[in-house]
Amino acid sequence: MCFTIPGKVVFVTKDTSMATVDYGSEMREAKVIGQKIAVGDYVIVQAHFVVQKIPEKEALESIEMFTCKKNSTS
Amino acid sequence: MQEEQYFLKYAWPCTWVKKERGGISEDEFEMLKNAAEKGVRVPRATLERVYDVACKHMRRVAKEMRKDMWSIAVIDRYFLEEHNRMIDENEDFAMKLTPSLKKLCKCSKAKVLGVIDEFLKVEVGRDIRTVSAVFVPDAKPGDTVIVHYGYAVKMITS
Repeated sequence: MCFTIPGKVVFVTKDTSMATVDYGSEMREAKVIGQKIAVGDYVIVQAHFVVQKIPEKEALESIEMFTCKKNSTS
Repeated sequence: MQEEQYFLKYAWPCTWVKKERGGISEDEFEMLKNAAEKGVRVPRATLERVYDVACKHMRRVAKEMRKDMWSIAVIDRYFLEEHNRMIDENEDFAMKLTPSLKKLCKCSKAKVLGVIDEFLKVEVGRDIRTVSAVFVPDAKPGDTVIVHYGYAVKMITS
């Protein structure tokens, strides 16, 4: 398995250069570069920056899959 | 460029995923990050251990091509063709990937739309993505690059 878990944007700074992303168990800061990101968007972050926005339905599917996997292997 | 450095640029984005999953130690991550960014040669044994899945499939591609697995042609064929085919067909590591993640996971051609500090805004198919330009510091708008997750892996010339 080689996918990154999507997170939900819960805060964007006024100058829109940074976002706070909620991963359920933790919050992380991510740089926003060249993208329009709003609170409520689901994003993929790599190397501390937002790579891409992804559709909510798909993000929830990925999160659920990851949660199931984690529970079944722990 | 040596084969080891060439491979590491392609594989580097996966290292972040491994880190998030706790699949690599902090020290090893930092060592590989430094090596990837500065073009330092990492021993093949280390790469074959850390990127075991990629290397397993590269070995198979090498056999089909009747070449050594540590050759540029095999590394390109694996990441640009076989690895993407496996993602499309949900094989091995690509099982259960959702459509957007499949696109991020593939090594794809992308058009550079803009350069913002050390990042590129790129167009991959119909998607707009931000990628790190650390491996392609000379990229400019209009260029074509290969992207893998959050990184531009290399420039495409011609």
